[in-house]
Amino acid sequence: MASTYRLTLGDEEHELEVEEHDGSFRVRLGDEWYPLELERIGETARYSLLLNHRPYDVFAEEGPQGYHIVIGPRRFAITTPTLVRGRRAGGPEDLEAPMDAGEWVLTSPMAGVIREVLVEPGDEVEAGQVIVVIEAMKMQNDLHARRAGTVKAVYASAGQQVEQGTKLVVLL
Amino acid sequence: MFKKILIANRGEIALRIMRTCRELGIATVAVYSDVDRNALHVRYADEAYLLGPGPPLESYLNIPKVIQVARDAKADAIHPGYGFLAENADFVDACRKARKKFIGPSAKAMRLLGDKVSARTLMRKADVPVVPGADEEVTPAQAAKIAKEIGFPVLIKAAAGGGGKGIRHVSEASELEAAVRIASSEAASAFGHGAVFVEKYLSPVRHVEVQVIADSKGNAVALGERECSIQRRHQKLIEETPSIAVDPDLRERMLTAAVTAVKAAGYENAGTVEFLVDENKNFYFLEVNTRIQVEHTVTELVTGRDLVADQILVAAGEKLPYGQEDIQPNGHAIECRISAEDPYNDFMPSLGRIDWVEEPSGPGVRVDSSIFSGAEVPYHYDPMLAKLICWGPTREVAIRRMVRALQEYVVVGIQTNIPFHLQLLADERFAKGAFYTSFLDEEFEMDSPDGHPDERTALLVAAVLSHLKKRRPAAVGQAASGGSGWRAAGKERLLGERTMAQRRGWRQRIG
Repeated sequence: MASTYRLTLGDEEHELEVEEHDGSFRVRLGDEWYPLELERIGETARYSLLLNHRPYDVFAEEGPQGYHIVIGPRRFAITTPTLVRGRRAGGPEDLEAPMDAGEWVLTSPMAGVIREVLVEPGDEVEAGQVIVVIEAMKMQNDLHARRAGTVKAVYASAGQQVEQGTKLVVLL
Repeated sequence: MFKKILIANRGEIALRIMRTCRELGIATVAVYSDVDRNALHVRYADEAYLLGPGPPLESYLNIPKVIQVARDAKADAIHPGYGFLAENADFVDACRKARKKFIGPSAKAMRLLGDKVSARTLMRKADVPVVPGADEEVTPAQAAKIAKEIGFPVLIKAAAGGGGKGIRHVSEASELEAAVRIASSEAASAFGHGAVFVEKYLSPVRHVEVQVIADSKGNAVALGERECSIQRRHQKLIEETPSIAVDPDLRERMLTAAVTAVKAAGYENAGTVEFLVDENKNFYFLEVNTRIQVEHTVTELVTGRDLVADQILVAAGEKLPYGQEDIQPNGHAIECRISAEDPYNDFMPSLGRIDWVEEPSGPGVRVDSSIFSGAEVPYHYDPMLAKLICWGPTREVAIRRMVRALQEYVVVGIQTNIPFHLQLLADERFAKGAFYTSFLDEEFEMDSPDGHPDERTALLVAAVLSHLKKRRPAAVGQAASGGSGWRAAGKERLLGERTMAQRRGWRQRIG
C-alpha cells in the first residue's frame, strides 16, 4: 500500500510516495524510487538508515510542524503540512505578517542581557539603525531596525535579562 | 608537591586540568555557578563548591568567594585556567595573602606583561619590534589624536584580557568614539578593567605565537610556535603547529625574542608571546598571554609534553625537567574550536539543550570537551563547547584526520560551527597556507546550506517517519519524543529558526 506525503524543506515543497514491504521501505522522490531501511536504535531518537545499502546515522526530532532531521553536522527542518492544525506558532509566516500590517516588533533573537537601548518612544529610526545592544556569551550584539519607522513602545531596559523571543521594541 | 588544587574555572579547561591532577595523584576542588551545577567539571572533581549565581561577576570572577572556598577546602594551590581570573593580578595577590599558591606568574610579572601597554614598553627596551601605537591607555579624544598620527585603520584594544573580547576595528574617525565606548564596556564586563589603547591595524599579517615556560630557577624554554591566523573578528577558530609561514631562521629569531621577553620580565610558569608576521617575514610583538591558552593542546601533541603538569611542577618550585635542546617537535597538529554558534546565521549564539553528543575518536584524535547529552548551554559564558585536536606526521595527514573527525562529531539540539570548519578545511587556500588574519572576515564566505545532497536523505527519512506515524501513531510519538532526553516542549521554536533569523536580517555587527 503506497501513501503520498507532501513535505516542505526550505522554500520547496516535495511530494514523496512511501511503500512498505516486510519492514523495509521504498520511497519515491521525483521520478526516482529509493529502497531504504530505517531502524530506531533502542529508545533513543537515533536511527540507523540504510539507503540503497549506504549506511547513515540519523537523528530525528519531531515537533508540531514536522521533523528536524540531523545527518552529520547538518540539521534539516522539514515541515509536514498534514501535521499542522490551525495556527503555526512561531513560523516564518508570523514574522512576515507584522511587516505588512504597519507595525514591526523587534524580539530578542537569543537569551541574554540587554546592555543598551538606543531609542525612546516617539523616536524616528532608519532601516538598519542599531536600536538595542544585547550581550550573550560575552559578545555584544547589535540589533537593528529592519525598516524605517517611529518607535511606538520600548519594553526593554539596560541590565534586563531576556529570553529568546522577548518583545523588545515596537515600531510603527 | 601539592596535595589538593582548586580549579577556578569551568568548561573544558577545568576538566583538562583535573585530568592531569588525577594522573599526578593530586586531589581536585571544583567551583561552580548555580547554572553549572550539573556541569562535567563539577562531577569530575573530588570536591565541588557553589560560588553563586550565573553571571560571572557573582561567581567565577568573585575573588573573595573563590579564596574562601580554597580555605574551606584546604587547597594548597589554585589553577585559574584561561579567561575569568587567569590574568587578574589582584587575584594573584589575594592568593598569596591566603597562602594559596597561584599556578601562574607572580602578580608583578603579570602586571608588567599582561598589561598590553607596559608589555609594549618592555619589549621596545629589549629591542623586540612592536606594532606602532599608543604606549598608554587612552580616552576617546586621545585615541583620535593618536589615530591621526599613525593613520587609519586602527584597533581599539583592551589593555587587559584576550580572546577577542574588547577589541574594535576602526577605519575612520567618526567611528572612534563609539568603538572606544563599546570596547571599554566589553573589557570591563569580561576582565573587570575598562582601560583601552590604540594600535595600528597591520594588514596583511599572520598571527604567530610562541609557547614558553619558565621555572623559578631562571630556566626558560620555548616550545615552538603556533599559527593562529584563522580568526573571525579577532577570535581564533583554528590553530596549528608548526606554522606554514615560519622557516627555521624566522623560528629561531622568534623563539629567542620570546625567551628574552620572559626573562626580562622575571616571568615564571607557562605563557605565550604573540607576534604578527608580515609578508616579508618581519615580526612584531603583539602581547603576552600570562596563562595557559586554549590552543596549548597542539603544542602538547607535537612536543609530547603535558603543559598543565609542567605548570604545576614549576609552581611547586621544581626545576623544568627539560632544556631547549630537548624540545624537538614531531609532526603537525591542528585544533578546531567547536562552538555554539550558527555559521549559517552570521555565527549568532545557539543556546539551549544539547540533546545528544557523539565525539570523534580513532588515530591521532584528541577531544577536550565539556559537553554531554542533556547539557544546557548557558548564555553567561563563552560559546566554546569543545576543542577537537588532530595530529599527523604531516600537515596534509593532520588536515585529512581533522576532516574525518569533524564528520564523526555529532551534536544534536543546538547548532555548532562544525559546518564552518569542514568548509574551511576543504578550502584550497587553507590547504596551501595562503591566508592572513583578515582571511575569514574579508575573503571567506559560508556556502549556503541549501542544495546539500543530504537534503534528499533527510526528506526520505521524514517521509518514512510520517508514514510510520500515520500507521502506528502511538509508536512514532514514542519514537520522536521517547526517553532520550529530547525536548518535549518548545520544539516549534527550532523549526525554521534559521530562516526566521535570516529573514529578519539580524546581524552581529562588531567593529
